[in-house]
Amino acid sequence: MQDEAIVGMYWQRDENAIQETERKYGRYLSKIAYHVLADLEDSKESVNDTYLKAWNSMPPHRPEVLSAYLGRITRQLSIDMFRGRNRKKRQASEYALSLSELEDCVSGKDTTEQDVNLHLLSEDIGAYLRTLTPEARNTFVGRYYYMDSLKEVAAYFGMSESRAKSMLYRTRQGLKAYLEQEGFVV
Amino acid sequence: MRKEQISDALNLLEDAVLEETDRLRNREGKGLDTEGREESNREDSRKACSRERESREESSWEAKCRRESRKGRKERAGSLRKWAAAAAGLLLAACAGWIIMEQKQNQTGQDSSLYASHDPEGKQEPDTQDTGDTAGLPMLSVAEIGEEEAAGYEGIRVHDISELVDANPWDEALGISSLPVYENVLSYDENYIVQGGDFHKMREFLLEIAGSLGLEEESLTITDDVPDEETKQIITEKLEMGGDTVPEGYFNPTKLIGEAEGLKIQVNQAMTATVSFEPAVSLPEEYHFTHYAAYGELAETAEYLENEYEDFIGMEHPAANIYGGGYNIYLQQSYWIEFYDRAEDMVQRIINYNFNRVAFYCDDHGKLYLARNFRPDLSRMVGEYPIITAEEAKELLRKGNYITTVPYEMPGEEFIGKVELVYRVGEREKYYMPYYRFYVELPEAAMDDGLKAYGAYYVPAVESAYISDMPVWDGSFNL
Repeated sequence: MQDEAIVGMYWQRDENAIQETERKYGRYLSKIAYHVLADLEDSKESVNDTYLKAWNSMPPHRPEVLSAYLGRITRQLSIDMFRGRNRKKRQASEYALSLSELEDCVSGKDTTEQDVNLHLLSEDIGAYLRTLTPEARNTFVGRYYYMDSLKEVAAYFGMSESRAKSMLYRTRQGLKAYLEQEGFVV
Repeated sequence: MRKEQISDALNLLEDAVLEETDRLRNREGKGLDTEGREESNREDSRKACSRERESREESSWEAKCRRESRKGRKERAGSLRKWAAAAAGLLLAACAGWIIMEQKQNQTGQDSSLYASHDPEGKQEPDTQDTGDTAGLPMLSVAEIGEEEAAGYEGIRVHDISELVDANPWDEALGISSLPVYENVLSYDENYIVQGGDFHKMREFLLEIAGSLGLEEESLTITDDVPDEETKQIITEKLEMGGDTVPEGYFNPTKLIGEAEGLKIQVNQAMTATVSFEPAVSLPEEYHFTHYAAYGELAETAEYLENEYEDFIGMEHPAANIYGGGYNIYLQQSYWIEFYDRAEDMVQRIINYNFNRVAFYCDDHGKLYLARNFRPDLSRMVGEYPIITAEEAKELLRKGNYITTVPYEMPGEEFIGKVELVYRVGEREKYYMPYYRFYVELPEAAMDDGLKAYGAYYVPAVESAYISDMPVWDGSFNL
């Protein structure tokens, strides 16, 4: 079923929208959740919460790209769940690994002001990503948004893991420099 | 700034950025073949890399989900019940009907797979003891497209369908009226652990391949892939952290490995020998063996490989199959090299083309780094089945009697670009049987780069009277 039709079902309050969403995007969302949580039960819970949130948010929302819309919800819900966990469980997650790599982009200092500027930060990250080659951009998004493993992101372009690793490193360094240039205190 | 803020900000990236990456994820990471051929054995070199991952190395979502997939159907109903409870205030009554439907599916063994049986209750079990109309041939069941291969969809992007090429010996004009069907000697338990491989035959095959590459048996170190105790312990603990346990047979050997003199030969239970050249082999500089080499360049490379690896190819009348022609999102066109034995008998030639193949793969630097020799066990022939014509298959296609990973309903006969007869040879097929593969233009998947998207739809080529569960597309697909 096409996304437009599924979204239409949400707007018509047709409960089959959930079933169609699960049928079409269940695996996709489960993978995102699992990469954050590394736990099947928690992942299922996160994905089910996604369906509920989707039901509650459409209407008023009418997403153009349903996969991205749902994926964002799952990712954020899973991260929220992750943050409520104990330390031992966090270490087992692909998200935890990717997060530790992102340390290269920041100093680790908390700045309250920037806590509320995620949209600006996102815009600047987006602008930086557009300056990159497709390989570098997609490798970065795959690793840090979708939290795919190094092996998986390397496979996007058939490159070796070591090449993907060094590309990610350069991209992180570049992002840090770019954000500093844009006035962020990283 | 904290690293978490970077991560959170990524959640607000534009859809287009996420979509671009997602397309690549579907193409490479999950078995989507945008370049032409679907069968799991027919991989380009990049996918060949990922195929090297063994199930027990897949510590992530994929491996667990496979094991979970069976019991997950019951759990899914539980999860859905949980969701329904949370939303009870909104749609309690309506959800009740939906949950009942889910439970009913679980009871009948169905799930929301790629197609539904023509039996609406899903009670019709494939039964090889039943016979078809008149010839006394056993009934056949059409295999589901496995979850592991159903992510993304099988399709290609070309300016014109004529750019899609292969050396398929089948032609409607041959007038072939029957073809053999084989039962897969391998089976998979509920945890997707393979059974049925003949390790004696595998060892013989490994030694034969080693010999064809000039290796003496004495120089080979032959092992299997059973992990050592420490690794077993790590895997066990990792699964337990997720509340899981190690399934029975999980640590059984799945393949044999022979190593010597810069070569690594692995033979799995499907009788596929994978040769890794370590280091990768440089070809003479006049040959271009790269991911995006032109058709003519690869044809020349194939000639070189045919001479250089004559014994490894091991065929009486080797014929090169340079196949592919699809473009990726960066408008780069790709082809791949395989060989098959061009037997005199046309049916045997078709069998060889689909099953008994040798493939060569290049790495990022244009070197030969991997080769495969496919020799599946076809000893369990079920019978010689009458097949329908391509025109009759087109009628079935029009009626929705197909299986596909394409997320769109077949848009119409006028969108059919190409049809060919192939065997679906995935290792998890229950029966190796012929299908008509239709490449159908997908207007809904068109992008603004001038390329047309075509998706593959499969219609069983065996006469419907012998198919116990003729598929009917129900609008679903596996992402």
